[in-house]
Amino acid sequence: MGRVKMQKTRALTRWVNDPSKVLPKETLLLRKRNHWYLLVQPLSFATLIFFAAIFFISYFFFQIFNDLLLFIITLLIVLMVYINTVIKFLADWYCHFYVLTSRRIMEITYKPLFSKNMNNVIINQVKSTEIDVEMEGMLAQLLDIGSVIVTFDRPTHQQEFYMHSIKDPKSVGFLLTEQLDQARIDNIESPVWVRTKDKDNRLRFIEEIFPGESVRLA
Amino acid sequence: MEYARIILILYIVAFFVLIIIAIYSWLYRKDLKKTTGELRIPLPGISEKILFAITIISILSLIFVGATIIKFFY
Repeated sequence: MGRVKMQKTRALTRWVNDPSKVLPKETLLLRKRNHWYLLVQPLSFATLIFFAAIFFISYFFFQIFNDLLLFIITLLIVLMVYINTVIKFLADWYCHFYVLTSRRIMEITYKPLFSKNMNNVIINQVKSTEIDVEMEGMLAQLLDIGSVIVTFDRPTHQQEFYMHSIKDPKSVGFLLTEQLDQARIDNIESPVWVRTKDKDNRLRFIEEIFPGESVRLA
Repeated sequence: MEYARIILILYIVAFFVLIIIAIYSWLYRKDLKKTTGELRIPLPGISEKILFAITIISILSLIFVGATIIKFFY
């Protein structure tokens, strides 16, 4: 079986469902969506508006304009708008997930017909300083919902990768910790010098910023 | 007369809303199939069927409302 290459075509996440190694030394470890509980509020709100609209049009077409046909057509329109809205909420939730492989962390947010976002962090190109797991509230404890925040520290600025409202965040946090601990920065590609914003001290050794992390040149 | 005019306007508004619903549900169904294909995840079959049904119902309602509007003028 030959090597499968990442295609530059529309099948950007060809390997998402493929558990086999796609790139050398890359293994798919995790794919997780947001918890279903996030759907409860928008769906409840949409349902409330739907019933309010039915009440309003019933009053409008029976008390003011006595027209049964127009009432049926309006009811049909309201029902189709409601169903389209529910399907949109479900599809947006369904097509939003986080992927962890042995070499990268990705957040994929595809909203059909509206937007497409892909956030890709290559593990061996960043240094992780913190992995936080947050589970706040009684409901979060009961349903095991939480968020995982990975903070990356680069010489010039910090970045966060946020996994929002996922199920079983503790095990995801532990898995991420293992992967980020195992990642090794490529010594040849790591810069020895870093340009800082400090005017008096423009260039600094990596060793000064990260003591004990010496860079060995090949 | 005023009553009839208001009813006519409501039918015309319903006509255009049905056009928008038909186009939106058809485009959304197409893009949903394309998106799940790109992501290599299963297509939610029930959603796809419901969207197709909505498209058909909107088009049929559109024809009916259009005929009603024309009938108003005759």
